[in-house]
Amino acid sequence: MTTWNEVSLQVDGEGAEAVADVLRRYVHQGIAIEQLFPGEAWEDEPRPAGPLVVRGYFPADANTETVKEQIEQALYYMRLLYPIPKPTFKTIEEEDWADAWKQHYHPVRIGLRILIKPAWLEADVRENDIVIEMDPGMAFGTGTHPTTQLCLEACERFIKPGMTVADLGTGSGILAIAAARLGARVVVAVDVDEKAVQVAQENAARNGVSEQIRVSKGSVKELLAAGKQFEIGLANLTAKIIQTVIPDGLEKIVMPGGRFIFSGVIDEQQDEVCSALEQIGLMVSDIQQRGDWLLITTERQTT
Amino acid sequence: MAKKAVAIVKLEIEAGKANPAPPIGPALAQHGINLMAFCKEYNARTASRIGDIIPAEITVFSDQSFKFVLKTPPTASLIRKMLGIDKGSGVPNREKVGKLTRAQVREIAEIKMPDLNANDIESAMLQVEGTARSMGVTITD
Repeated sequence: MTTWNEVSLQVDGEGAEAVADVLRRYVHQGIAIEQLFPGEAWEDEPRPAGPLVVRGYFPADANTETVKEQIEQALYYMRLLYPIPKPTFKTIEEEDWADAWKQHYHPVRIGLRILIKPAWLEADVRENDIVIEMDPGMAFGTGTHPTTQLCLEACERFIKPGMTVADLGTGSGILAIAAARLGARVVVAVDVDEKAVQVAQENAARNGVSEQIRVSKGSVKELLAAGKQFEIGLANLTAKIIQTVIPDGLEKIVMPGGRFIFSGVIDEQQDEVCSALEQIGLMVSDIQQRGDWLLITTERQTT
Repeated sequence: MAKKAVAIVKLEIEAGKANPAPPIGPALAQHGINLMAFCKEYNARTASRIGDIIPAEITVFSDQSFKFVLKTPPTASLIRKMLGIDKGSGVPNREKVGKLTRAQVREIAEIKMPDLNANDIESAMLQVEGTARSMGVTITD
């Protein structure tokens, strides 16, 4: 096993590129710059500024001390122009980085019968279990996120064999697959992200439900173009996206009397989202909460 | 679903050549993301630009999904390319390795503009000049 030296130093945004360019001369294949943020950051929001850690790696061998000296010297001269700290060195053992991420995944049991299982793992399967196998590409619904769990539980509760289901923002396809496995006759799933469409298709095939699930790139318009209204609508999105797609005729995706299930909403957005949904005739019939997250079940008014 | 970001990692690596060795392996594996999915996607998206350093900025979310965007090449690598040199000066305050004209600085600033924290081209040029000086490259009119 190869051992590697890691050199790292914490710098501000301006200095990072210059430091990276100096380190690049001495390290293997390039540089990693990690942004540290003390608080929370959310997708699609401006991210907090924070210090950066610049890291590079070189083999731990007979040249180690020479390379360390070269790095320290190069940074010493840079320090005459920029205030930068001294580099920190440590050694790391080479491991199977390509597969290391897999240890983060475990089978997850949700609701009464649903078992989400990473494709490469064996799981303790009970009679009547609905096993959903997922292999994470870049878009992964691991089944561990509260909103995914809430939606899966709702699927278990409301989807009956033979139903028609629409899935708006399908991501990894996990909800669409669950719907099909619960007996839905037709599931039409859309996502604006092409990559997600591909991953969802692969996952559908893996679970043997490609026949029932049609995945395509799109949003509300594409679901309305499906030509028929659905008995169940699923939308695990965000409050902001839900409100953005309301003017597109969101409610018409489900038939009068049909259920439209929303998640990805946090509790403080409840009033705003519920009143916006009721204005388009999606009447709130139930709200579940897990952590900060809400699941809002609505029924479309018949008149 | 609103996703919480748990890490943002920028990799400054060569186009089309991502692999699980350092720095990519240790930098990404600790965050639990599918390394090979990243390498495959990165290599596909940068295949036409082999020879350039094309940084990828990866945002890792709390459910271990991730997304990445490609960035403009590092300022220093654009300067090196423009001057036709392999590396900057080891002693930038004393040994100079080249000269950039203001027009060349502007050209680099224009390429870098989308990724720089700059409101106008003048402040972008100042940042490019700063990087140039740190490499032992002087600016001429």
